[in-house]
Amino acid sequence: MEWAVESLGLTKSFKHHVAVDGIDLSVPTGSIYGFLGSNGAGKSTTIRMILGLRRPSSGSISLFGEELRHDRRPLIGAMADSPGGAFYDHLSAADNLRVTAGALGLECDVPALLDRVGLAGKERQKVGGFSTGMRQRLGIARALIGDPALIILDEPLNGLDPEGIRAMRTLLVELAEGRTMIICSHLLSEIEKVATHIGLLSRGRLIHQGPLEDLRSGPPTVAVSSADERLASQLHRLGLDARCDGGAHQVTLGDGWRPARLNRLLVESGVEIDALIPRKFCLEEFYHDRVSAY
Amino acid sequence: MTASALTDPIAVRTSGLIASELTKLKGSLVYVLSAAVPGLVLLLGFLIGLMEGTTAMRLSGGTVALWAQALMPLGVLALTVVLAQLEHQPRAWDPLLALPGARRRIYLLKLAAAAIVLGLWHLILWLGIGATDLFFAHFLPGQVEGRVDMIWTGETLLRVFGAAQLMLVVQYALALYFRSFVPPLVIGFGGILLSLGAYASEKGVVIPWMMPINQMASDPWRADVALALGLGGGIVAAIILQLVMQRREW
Repeated sequence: MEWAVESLGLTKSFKHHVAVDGIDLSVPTGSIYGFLGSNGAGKSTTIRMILGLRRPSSGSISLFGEELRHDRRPLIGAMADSPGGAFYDHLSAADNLRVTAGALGLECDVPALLDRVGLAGKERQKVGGFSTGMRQRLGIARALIGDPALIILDEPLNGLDPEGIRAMRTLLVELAEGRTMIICSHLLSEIEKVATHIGLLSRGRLIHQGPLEDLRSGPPTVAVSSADERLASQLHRLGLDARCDGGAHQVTLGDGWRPARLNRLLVESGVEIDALIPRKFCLEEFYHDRVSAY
Repeated sequence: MTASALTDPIAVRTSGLIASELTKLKGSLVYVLSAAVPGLVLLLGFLIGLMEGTTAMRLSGGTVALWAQALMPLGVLALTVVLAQLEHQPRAWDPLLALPGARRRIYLLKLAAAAIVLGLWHLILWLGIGATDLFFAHFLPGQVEGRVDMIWTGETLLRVFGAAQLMLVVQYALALYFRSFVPPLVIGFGGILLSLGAYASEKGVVIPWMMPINQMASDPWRADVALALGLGGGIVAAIILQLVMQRREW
């Protein structure tokens, strides 16, 4: 597999604090990589190291197979420091894009770029008067300058209303065609809808990484509720992996198990079942399970 | 887009890059400064000529001296603080610093933009002195004795501009490095007050804030040393600044 971003033992220490602790990041080329973690988990520091804004204390970063060097780096489209990244508020949307294109020494088709992110006709409007959603879109337009193969978006869905989130989700999927995209976000349900891979960061460490599909195609689970105290012992007797979560037992069904079979066996054993609900994979639950277990 | 295409100095269009830095100044306080700083000196020269009468030499020499010693250093102080604040306030520079190759030139480009603005101020002042001279010659003849020597004025302003480069870099570096307007303000005012106090001192030639006014010194050697130190020191200081800042973490 080819990696757009690969880090080995990436560490960033500050005076009395290790922000990123030896992470081995592997972002496949062409993927939409959801980079998840709570506030202070080390996401932003990792992103800033990839962007070259901070130097790693140790470890290395490779982008598209080439080790990242301070003085020679490929173009990365970035939208950091939400909402939408920092702009020169006294300048128009077009001028903000021109400043970035100018720093790269590139020509920039401003109207086309703004049109692509849904800001057609806003060229001359000062960014200081933009709404959060418009700033997010402009941030993405800026990240697209130079048509980079890798785009990193920090909280692109923050501060958006439900319609805005939906529109942004569609836009992200469109823009990810033919390039690699790393998205940092707290909105796990949204990441679940767009990401192909996830990386889970907790207290500076990467505690899970891999394709989302592997998690979705994992063994099915059911939530079993019953007032009968014998439920736990019966599940144990059947050799099933179960844990109690908010009054219901979350049961992982292994090979050969189906919810109907479990239901029948529990009823036959005399346990009165209040509810037995087959559950789909939920990133939010997975996230909380992994973080609390870590 | 490949890394080499973006980092190859040949591919970098310097004029376009400086233009992008100048674009940032649109609608900023730099416009106000550009009108106010040379404008105030010109207004003072005009009022003195209007109310008291003067000679052409005093009109141009006095205006340039006031400019070189007080208003221009104050203007540079304000200009560099405004330029740095444009970047620091909203961490606006982050997306640019993350671009390939940007770190190697972005600080110098901003400095170049500052130098261009400073050069424009000198041009405005030169044209303003010429306009003042023309006004008195045509509308109030006799109020100003003689005509202003525009070539001498231009040459002197050019030397003042050259000698101001070290001061410009020092002020810019302070504003940029500390991410606050306080250190550049304190040191800038300190430098200006020092230059006012040590106006006649020969040793003052080594103080960046006194290098511009030393272009008016009667001793040509002092003026030349101040110009060499101001211009040469400015170039060396700019290179050092670039080397320090491009390695800085943001």
